[in-house]
Amino acid sequence: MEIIINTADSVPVFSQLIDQVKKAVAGGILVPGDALPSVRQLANDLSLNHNTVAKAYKHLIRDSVIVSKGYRGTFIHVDAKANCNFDLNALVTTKLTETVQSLQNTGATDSEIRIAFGNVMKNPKILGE
Amino acid sequence: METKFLFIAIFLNQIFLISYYFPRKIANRIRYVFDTYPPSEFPKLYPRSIDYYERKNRNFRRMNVFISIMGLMLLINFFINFPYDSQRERWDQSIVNAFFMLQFLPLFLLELSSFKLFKLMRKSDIRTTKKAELKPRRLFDFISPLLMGSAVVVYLTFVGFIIYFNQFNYPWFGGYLNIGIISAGNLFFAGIAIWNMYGKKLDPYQSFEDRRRQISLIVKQMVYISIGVTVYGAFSIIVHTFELRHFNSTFMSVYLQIIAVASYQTLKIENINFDVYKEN
Repeated sequence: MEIIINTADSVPVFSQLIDQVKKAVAGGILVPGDALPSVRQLANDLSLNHNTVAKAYKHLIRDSVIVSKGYRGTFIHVDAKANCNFDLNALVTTKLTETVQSLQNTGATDSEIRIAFGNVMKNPKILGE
Repeated sequence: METKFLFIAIFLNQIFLISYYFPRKIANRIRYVFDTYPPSEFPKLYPRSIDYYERKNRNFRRMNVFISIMGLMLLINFFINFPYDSQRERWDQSIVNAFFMLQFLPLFLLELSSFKLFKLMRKSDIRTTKKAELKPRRLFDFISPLLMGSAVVVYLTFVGFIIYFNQFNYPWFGGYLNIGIISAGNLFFAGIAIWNMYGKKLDPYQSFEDRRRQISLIVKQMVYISIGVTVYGAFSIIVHTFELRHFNSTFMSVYLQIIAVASYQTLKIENINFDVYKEN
């Protein structure tokens, strides 16, 4: 399978990589157990920074679309097809919209919500990290 | 006397093979590319003007002619002053080795210019879309397990041979240093293979198939050279032990020619996809 990225596109390169892997899994081009190239190989082939490819792989591992098996390499996850349809970004947007709406209902202003959101994101203790 | 004529014949073959036959093949190949895939139709193949390539090709030919003449002069010298004592033989062996290095100089310089040209190609590549295969490259995609296994067995046999030989305390024997030298050489060959497999793509337009074929060729070359170097390492110790030192220069020349045959292998030109160098 070929992967194509466009550096002039407004979509970040790492997102393009994620989308294409997910599309390939959804389309049955990549099936569970298929091996993926190493971060170094793919980054060198696409003339990208290794961190960009590593970031895409990290997101795909988090979403259980791919799985890392140490020195043996990276493979398509057993439940990849089911997991690749799950959009974490959409979930975050939905949850955040609900939260913002409920806060607005209590009378909080937009600027208060923004400042509070910023504080929560900045302070790891509040986030429970 | 037979030793002398045998060496002269083998050394003459070294001059012919490395400074005439292979360079001629390479120069003709370059000429064939110029004629069949001209800059007007395949502009991406030529980041510099055609005159530059013509000049490089001419220099390559001239250097090889010059080295051939030097080789023939050396051959005459060997013919007149053929060594019959071991001290001189060691010197002549070093001369054969040094001359081999000199014979490889034109090819080395040619490779160096091709690296520079690939760099220019990458610089002038203004495409914003990049493609890659979503498939891992693994060693056994490029080489048979049998060949790789043979290289490992040869290396381990060499290590065993040195350990066994070390108990005899020959004053000239380098001991475990032999293992160190051969191991360093093999690591270097492995490094070249790994760099080709996973490193940056030199030619930005090269098709996936051509790249795979090229990697396969280089990995096989490295394995064959590794086997050759290791076998020769053991062989030269045996030669020394059996007091066959007067054959040393001859054996070294044969060995260097085998290395040259392995190093000069190239991809078949008809199998290379040149369409990638056409204007979009």
